[in-house]
Amino acid sequence: MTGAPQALAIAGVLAIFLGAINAGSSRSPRTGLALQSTGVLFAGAAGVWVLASGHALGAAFRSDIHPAFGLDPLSGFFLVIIAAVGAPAAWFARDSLRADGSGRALAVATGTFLLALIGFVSARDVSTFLEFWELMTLVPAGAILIARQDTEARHGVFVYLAITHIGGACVWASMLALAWHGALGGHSLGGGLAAFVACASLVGFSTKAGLMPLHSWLPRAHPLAPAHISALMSGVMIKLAIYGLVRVLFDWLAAPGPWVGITLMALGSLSCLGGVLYALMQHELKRLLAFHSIENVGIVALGLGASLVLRDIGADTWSAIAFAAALLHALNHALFKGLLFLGAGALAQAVGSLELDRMGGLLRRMPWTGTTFALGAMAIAGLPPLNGFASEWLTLQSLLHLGGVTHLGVAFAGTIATAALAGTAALAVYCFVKVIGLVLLGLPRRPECAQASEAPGAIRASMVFLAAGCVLLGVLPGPLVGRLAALSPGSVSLGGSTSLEVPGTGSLPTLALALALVALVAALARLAHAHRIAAAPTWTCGQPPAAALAWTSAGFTKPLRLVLEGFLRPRREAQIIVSSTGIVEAVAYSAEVPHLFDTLLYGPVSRGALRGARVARRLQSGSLRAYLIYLLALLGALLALARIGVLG
Amino acid sequence: MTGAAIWGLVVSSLAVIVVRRRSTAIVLVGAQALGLGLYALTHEPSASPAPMVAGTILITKGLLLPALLLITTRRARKERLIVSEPNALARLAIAVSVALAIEQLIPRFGLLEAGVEHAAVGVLVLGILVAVVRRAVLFQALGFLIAENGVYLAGLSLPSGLPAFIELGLVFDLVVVVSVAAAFAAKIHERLGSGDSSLLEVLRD
Repeated sequence: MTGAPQALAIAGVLAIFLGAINAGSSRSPRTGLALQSTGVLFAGAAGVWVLASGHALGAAFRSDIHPAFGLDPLSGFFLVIIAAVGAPAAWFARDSLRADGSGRALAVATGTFLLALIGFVSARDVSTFLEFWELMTLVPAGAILIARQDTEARHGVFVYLAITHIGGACVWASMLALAWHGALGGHSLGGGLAAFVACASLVGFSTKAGLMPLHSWLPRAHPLAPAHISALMSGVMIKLAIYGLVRVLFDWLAAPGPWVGITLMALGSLSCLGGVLYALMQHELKRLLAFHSIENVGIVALGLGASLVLRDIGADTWSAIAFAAALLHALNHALFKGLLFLGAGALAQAVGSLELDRMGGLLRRMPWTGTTFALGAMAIAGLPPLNGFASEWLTLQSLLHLGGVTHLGVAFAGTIATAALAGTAALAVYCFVKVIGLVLLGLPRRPECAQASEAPGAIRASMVFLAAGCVLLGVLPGPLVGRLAALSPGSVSLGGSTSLEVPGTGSLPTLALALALVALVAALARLAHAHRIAAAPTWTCGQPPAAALAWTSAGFTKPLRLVLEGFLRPRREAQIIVSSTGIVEAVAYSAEVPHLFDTLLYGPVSRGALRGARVARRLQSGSLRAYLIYLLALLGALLALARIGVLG
Repeated sequence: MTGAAIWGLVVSSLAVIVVRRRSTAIVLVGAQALGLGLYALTHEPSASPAPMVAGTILITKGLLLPALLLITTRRARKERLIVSEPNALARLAIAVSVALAIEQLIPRFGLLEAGVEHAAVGVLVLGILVAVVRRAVLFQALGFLIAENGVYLAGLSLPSGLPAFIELGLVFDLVVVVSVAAAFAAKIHERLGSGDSSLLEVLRD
């Protein structure tokens, strides 16, 4: 690396490293976390330089195993994502972590996690790439276990590590096959092996990205972690799996074929619809946000899949637009999901439980946290003029274009994907109306909510930083979209306008739209102040208004649950205890929407694996003679196979 | 190496499979090592020091390890009949058939004489089979010594011999394994009144 960007990147990494050491060795981790936050901003600045200039820094990708580091515009973009979430997350942790042993250990884990994420995007050889990939998986597991040692946490971490390591095996297989054939060094891999690499990388990277049906670890692990680690996991870590997928499918494989794009679109459609649907049925805020991560990664996959299919049919400009839409949504999701997880952390710090039915009235008591959280909720729901709307609109445009091509199969896939994205957008609005209504508005449902006070300064600053990013990328997405489109394999150049411009179907004047909305809101506010309204209690059929009469999470989503009863298969149990005189003494009600992937897919698979393990255990007799017999049998079998020509 | 010497190695390995007395088996294995060591020291001189190193190691091993094992057997003199073992004829039949099958399957691996190559593989496999078909811990240790003699036979047939580092590494590993096995055999004999390793299976959790 040379020059100022090199100095920035190295200074950033050193600052994070020193920050981690300082956090671990000082009485309070605050200074160390501030250093980490500054360091990741420096590294992000190097990423911005590389992305904006289009020049690479340091080593280029190569297929050997000698450690090498460097940055090109694509890894620069993902470094920006790391910095955009990593800096506020580390800053947030200054006020959220306690100054005790556990807090210091978590601060060290935060720095290690940031270094692993940066190391992964800057790795330029297969061994470094895989080492940081594994480190990126292990560090959050450690952070969860530092924060919590209960059975639920240990089980969640076990599931997380088990599923991501099955995926990890596929990543290893695909990367080693690519390196063996020199595909990392500039010669794209084609032929029959390319299909194997495409399949292995789809399974491997999709598992870490949380695409359905390989997502089962995500809603278990993300809610368990401390808020700032959840923000990094959901905002950044799963995006780096997308980075790996982009590298393999767009850079290292030579035209993998339309089936790869269509498979990606199918996984994306399933993930975005399934994710939002299960998010709607959740009653705990962080678990709900985790399911929304699955939904948003699904939207990113839709964009990438569309880009591959469009490239395959020769529509290079639209392929680049879909590619840019996917990357833009990855950044946008990092911003608003980071904001929402940090917001959830701030709320949890103020009121304890994050059960939706036990919150309420927090906007008035925590105006900074509440307002920024609401902004994040509107952004993730895809409301204009925020960033979620911009990238979902661009993805929708790409999918609509796909629906109009002459290839029947491609058009059908495009139509299905368009419908899935449209349905997802509608359900996401529905879900976040519920969240804002139950968490921020209404009456406080517990004394802790009534007595909640605003979050400390570092937490507020982190959330404002991310909220500002959501607004900025919603109002002025154009320049970034142009740069991202240039990263696609076709290197298509789009106009450098501030708004979103696409050929043929018109454009989206984001800035004008934002200004019009601001003017409309100002006019409505002025109008509201001009006519004073006398406040009166809500009519509750003659009863005094009480928190217990307010909407519940289950009540709000009941219409949808009834419509989809055949698919969701909710379980309800009501128990009425009646005394001998016929008076109802108590009513107990419980309801649950089971996760069908767990019931129908992971349950049978894990039961089968356990049965297999019981059988395999019989082979482990502990007898030396038995092991020697296995050895001789294996030797004999291999020799026999070699003799008949199956081996060698 | 003469055909008679090679057959001597194979037959003594087969004898360890059938003999009842531990001391006889120990003497047979020690004789194998001594025979190989004498061959290494006396066969046609070469510029390489490898045969000299191998011969010295083999003779030391042929004296030291049997002595160690004989001391162990003296300490545990009242050996019960090991009933879990197949009878001698069955053991011999199993060993001969498995060794012949592997002999047939294994391809040539580059020794100058085909007969030596077959014998080396045969002794190696018979050594492993001694550990499989004999239940006493001491016989299992002898099985490893026989297998190693097979490796030495192949090594001595190479034009340049085995490198001295490999020779020393092999013998170090083997001394450790046999010493541990001897101590283990003495201990379980003291506790269980027998060196039958199958008795240990009930200790498994």
